[in-house]
Amino acid sequence: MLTRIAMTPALNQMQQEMDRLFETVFSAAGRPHDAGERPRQDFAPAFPPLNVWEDENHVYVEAELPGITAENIDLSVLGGELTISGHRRMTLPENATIVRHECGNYEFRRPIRLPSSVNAESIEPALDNGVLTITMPKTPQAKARRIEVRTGSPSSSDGRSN
Amino acid sequence: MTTETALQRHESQPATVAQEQPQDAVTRQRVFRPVTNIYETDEAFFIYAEVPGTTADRIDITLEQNVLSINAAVPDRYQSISRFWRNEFAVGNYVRSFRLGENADPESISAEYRDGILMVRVAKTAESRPRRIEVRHA
Repeated sequence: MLTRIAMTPALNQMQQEMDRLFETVFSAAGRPHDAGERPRQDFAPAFPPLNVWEDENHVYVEAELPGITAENIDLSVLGGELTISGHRRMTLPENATIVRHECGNYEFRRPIRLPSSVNAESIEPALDNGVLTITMPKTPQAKARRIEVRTGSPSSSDGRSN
Repeated sequence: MTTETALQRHESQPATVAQEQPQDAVTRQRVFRPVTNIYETDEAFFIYAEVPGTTADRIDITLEQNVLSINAAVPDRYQSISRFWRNEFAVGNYVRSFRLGENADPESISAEYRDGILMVRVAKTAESRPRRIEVRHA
């Protein structure tokens, strides 16, 4: 339901990102949805908010998931995409009445494209005081960005003339 | 200024945070209002505030004239990172106050911080709690 107003570069970029985001949600399921079953995340694919950064050897993804315990969080990596999903179930005091209710039980599912390919076997998630930090080691191919300048003899096979 | 395409890096804003001292951090860092649920039973008020990313010793709770104030200092764990691929949320301190009923008893507050949730229990004053009167058979 996005109306196209003046497509400034920023809006265009947002449109593309939304398309891409929806695309990854659907493609991860293999199909839009099963007959008779609508995935909850149709209209809210961008939860939880994520921070993604990397250093030389790892890619890091972080989300804030307060009140959710480790057994209620699922992580999976396929190709260059990480999917974080889970749900929150709150336990209330007995016989309580609600005075203020700003957050209830919910489910979430967020696929995210990683900037570099990672080794799915050695993901290290850490959940610390409601902050989920996922550390993923990069594959050797992803790390090999530095091109070594050899100081070999002129007869080496790199074609350079002396 | 050219617009960067979607997958390029976003530069995060430079951190202007002091060291991890609650006093300084409050004045120089971003401040957020935590999402909070409040429940009430006959015996007490229960306040659940979402304050991830901090520790129990950094949280300050006061109850003064029925106003409960929560102040959580959150260390900036992104201080050493300058470039993100995605930067969808920021980290900052949490500050919020609530007015509880007149029967909130400042002498009996307890608080627990677990899984990023601060749970504060404020008992109600003894006089204000409903007392059940037993009806005996004559």
